[in-house]
Amino acid sequence: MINEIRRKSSFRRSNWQYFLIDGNTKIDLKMSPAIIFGFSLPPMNVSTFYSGDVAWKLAILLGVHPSKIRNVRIIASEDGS
Amino acid sequence: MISNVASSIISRVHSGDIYTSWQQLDVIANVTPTQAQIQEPSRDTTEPLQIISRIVLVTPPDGCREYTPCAIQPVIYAYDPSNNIIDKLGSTERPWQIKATLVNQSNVVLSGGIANYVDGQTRFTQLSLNGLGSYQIRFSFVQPDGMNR
Repeated sequence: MINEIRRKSSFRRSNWQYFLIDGNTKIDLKMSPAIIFGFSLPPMNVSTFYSGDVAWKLAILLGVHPSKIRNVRIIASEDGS
Repeated sequence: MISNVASSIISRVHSGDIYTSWQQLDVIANVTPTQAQIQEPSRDTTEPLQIISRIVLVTPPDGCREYTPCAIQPVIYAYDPSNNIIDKLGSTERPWQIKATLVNQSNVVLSGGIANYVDGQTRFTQLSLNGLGSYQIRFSFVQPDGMNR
């Protein structure tokens, strides 16, 4: 049942959150002050993106500890290049 | 609930400081971002973060009597470099503010002289003058989070 609850509960960046609960379920809801911040960059090769110490420089730029720079998502261009 | 770091980043984008720092650091070789966006906590949508190019007093205060809010409250727009009116400065929780002071007395804020910038303009409602006479009023930003000037 616990796995079913976790699977059917949804968590989104929204004012509404949805939970599947039963009589024994305890829910701790924690709201994060996190923002999603992005830059629009022109398309480039992966090698160009990683040509310098990008993570370290982004940390300096944003004023955070380098350990906070963690996830990268690379999206393929539409023409497959 | 927005953090100080996040608020500081937002302010530095508005001032253009973050783009200057990006170039100085050469974060990605010879590549400069064209636009910044933000999605605030508990929001589903992403909004652009614009650089401030200029602010314009589109409606000066008028119909002011002693110790009474001016009948016509001032309205100020902020514009980006493409001459678009900027819809929001700062975050929903910590909007940028504009203060009204007297020229040559910048440390004295007029009564009702601080307003948030939201929905594309300032929202003064209670600006008033404290006595008879002619006044020169200066409108300037309250120093936002993360900025030294």
